[in-house]
Amino acid sequence: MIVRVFRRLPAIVLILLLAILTLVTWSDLDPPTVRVSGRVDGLAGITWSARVSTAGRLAVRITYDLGDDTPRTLSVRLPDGARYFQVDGTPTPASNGVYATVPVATTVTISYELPGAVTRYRDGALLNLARVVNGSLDGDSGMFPCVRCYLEPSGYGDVPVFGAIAVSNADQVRLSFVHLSAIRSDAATDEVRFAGIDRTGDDLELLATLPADAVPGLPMRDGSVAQALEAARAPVLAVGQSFSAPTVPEHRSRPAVIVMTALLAAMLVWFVVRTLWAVGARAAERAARASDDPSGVDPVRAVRPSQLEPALVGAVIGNSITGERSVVAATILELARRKVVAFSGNDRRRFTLTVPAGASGSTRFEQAVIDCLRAPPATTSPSGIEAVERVGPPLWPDGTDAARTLQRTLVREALRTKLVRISPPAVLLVPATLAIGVLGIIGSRGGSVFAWIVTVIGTLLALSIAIAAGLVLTPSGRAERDQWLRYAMWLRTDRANAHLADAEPWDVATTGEVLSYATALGAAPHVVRILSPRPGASR
Amino acid sequence: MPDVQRPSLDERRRSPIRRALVVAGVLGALAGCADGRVVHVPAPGAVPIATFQTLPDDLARSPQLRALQPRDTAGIEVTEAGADGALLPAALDALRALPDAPKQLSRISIYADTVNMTYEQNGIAGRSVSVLYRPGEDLYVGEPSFSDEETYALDRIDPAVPAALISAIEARVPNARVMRLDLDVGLSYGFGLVWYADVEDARGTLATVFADLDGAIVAVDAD
Repeated sequence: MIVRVFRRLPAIVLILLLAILTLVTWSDLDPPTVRVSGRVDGLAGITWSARVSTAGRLAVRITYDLGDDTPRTLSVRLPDGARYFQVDGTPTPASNGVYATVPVATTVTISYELPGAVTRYRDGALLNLARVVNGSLDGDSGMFPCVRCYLEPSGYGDVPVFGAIAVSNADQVRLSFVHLSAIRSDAATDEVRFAGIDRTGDDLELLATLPADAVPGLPMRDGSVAQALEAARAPVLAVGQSFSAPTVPEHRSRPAVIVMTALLAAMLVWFVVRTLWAVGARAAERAARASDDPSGVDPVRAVRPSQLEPALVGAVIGNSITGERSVVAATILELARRKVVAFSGNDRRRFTLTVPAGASGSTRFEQAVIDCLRAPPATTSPSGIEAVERVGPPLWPDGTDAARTLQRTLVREALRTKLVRISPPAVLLVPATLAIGVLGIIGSRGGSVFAWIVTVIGTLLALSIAIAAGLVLTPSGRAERDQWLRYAMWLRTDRANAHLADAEPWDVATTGEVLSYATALGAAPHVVRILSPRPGASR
Repeated sequence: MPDVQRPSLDERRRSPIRRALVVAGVLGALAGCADGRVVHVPAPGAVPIATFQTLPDDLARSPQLRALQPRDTAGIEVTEAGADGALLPAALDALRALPDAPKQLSRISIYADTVNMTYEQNGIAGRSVSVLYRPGEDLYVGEPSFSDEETYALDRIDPAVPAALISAIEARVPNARVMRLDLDVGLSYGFGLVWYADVEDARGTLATVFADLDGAIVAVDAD
């Protein structure tokens, strides 16, 4: 059980990594929710909106939602130069053009136009509602003046502020505020909207850069909007104030995240189905074994199930059985049994394997084994390839290379004989992992380090999984495996086969083909240790 | 253009684990939506947007005039004659006919039977000359004196506006008169350069009305 879990560890880690990346990317689509921690009594919120005409005119509308119908008095402070002042849509006089006192209850809406707030430069325009007068921020020139001072809500707390600016190409507008925090914004082409919290009920100031083509009717001034913005920011910063910008999503593409999620879901489904199938198969095997009569001899198990060569038997068995086994050793034995190759000597400490000049295998894998035994390439005599003698142990001084070559050949043979097939989901695992990682990277602002890490590590994990699970048995391969498993059981457990465990390679001459299959099925570990190119790790 | 939208470094460097935890916070916050304590960006079109005022064909229909409310004067009418805006075209013509051919003015004050004007002489900054126009008489031209008042171009003035403006105001408050109409940067407050109309009724000063050079009434200052 632990071994099976450990075998699935790469898949579990991969799924976890990709799931975290996908979750993080989803969270990056939307900044954290803004919550009002303690709303002040007597002021439920302020809604501020403005419209900028193509001529640079600015119309402002401020609605104070008082949250109750208690009659109160609002001391209005208008920016210098504000015109067309109205309260709840009614033109209202203002002393010196900037002061007024109006009775309010429930809600009140102040509106006016403010010339000169927008200035145009060659590369953009600046909406400036943040001015410093006599060494301090002039709240009356801002978006709205000090709420606590002039509306006098009771107590202290958060004042939610909602707003919108209607202007051409609003999606290119950049906002920065003074005294507004936890700012979120969204934009379409015709308006940019925002929300935030005025933590102290103070005045609010705004600097907004607009695209130049938003105010084509405004005379162009010298300099750039960047210079104008810096010039507007500098005095505000100099008096100890700071600007806040809307929190922008770390990831900008919702479709990309949806694709990531779909890919992850597909992977998850594949892993779950595969795991369930494996669990079901094991349960079926256990049930089948339990139904067998342990005391009786199963004729199926005692008789070789088919003519499948030992190497392919080993291939279809895979990890279904444990123990030392080697398809290469099994093939050498099979060749020796048929006298294609020959052992000299019967001392495991020193023996010779002769590959005659004309030796050839009857199958591709056998031929590959013979070719590997001949490697390095034998000298060619006028009559053809010369005989090769290998003295062991070790029989394979270049065991790892030979094993790799023969493994490839065995896979090709298993595929050709349709005992195994390539699993499309496993093959798709690598590109799917890469796609999830790349989607996580390309949509993020400045690239996500975590997405990079997941992409690299995930791809390596996916590669290892694809290599391990890329080949699956076909129905005929599974049928062969089931039969050969029973035969392996008989070889490994029947007393009559006890001698196989200690058999020597040259015993094949007397034992026959059963030793070849025993070597491939883990019933002849001694032979494996002597003949396998990778003894100890051989199959 | 500097990207003032960029979040702080701290915000950008939030660890993935922390941000994963934020997901749980987001899910938890969904419950908080119901109690109205979550602040959301308004939906498109949800915020009523301010609108612009337009200049009516008839200044008497200026919306801002509604800020000018007649007072009860117990039936007493203003006996003094109000400012006569119709004097301005002739006054400006007379001004232009001067040998100095003034281009920049610093003041126009229209009264019932006179128009006072101050112009910058020969384009010399600070050198101002006051003139008094009275219909049927020669233009009185004063001696040059120093003035640091801001000037404006004579060509910017539409001479027909004062008469229309006075008519509109007096139509709104029939028991009041525009006693004086000034065009002076110093009397324009923060509105730029606007006409300053002093409106009085039998009780005294009723209001000051500010109007753009095209006659658009932009503000009313009522005492």
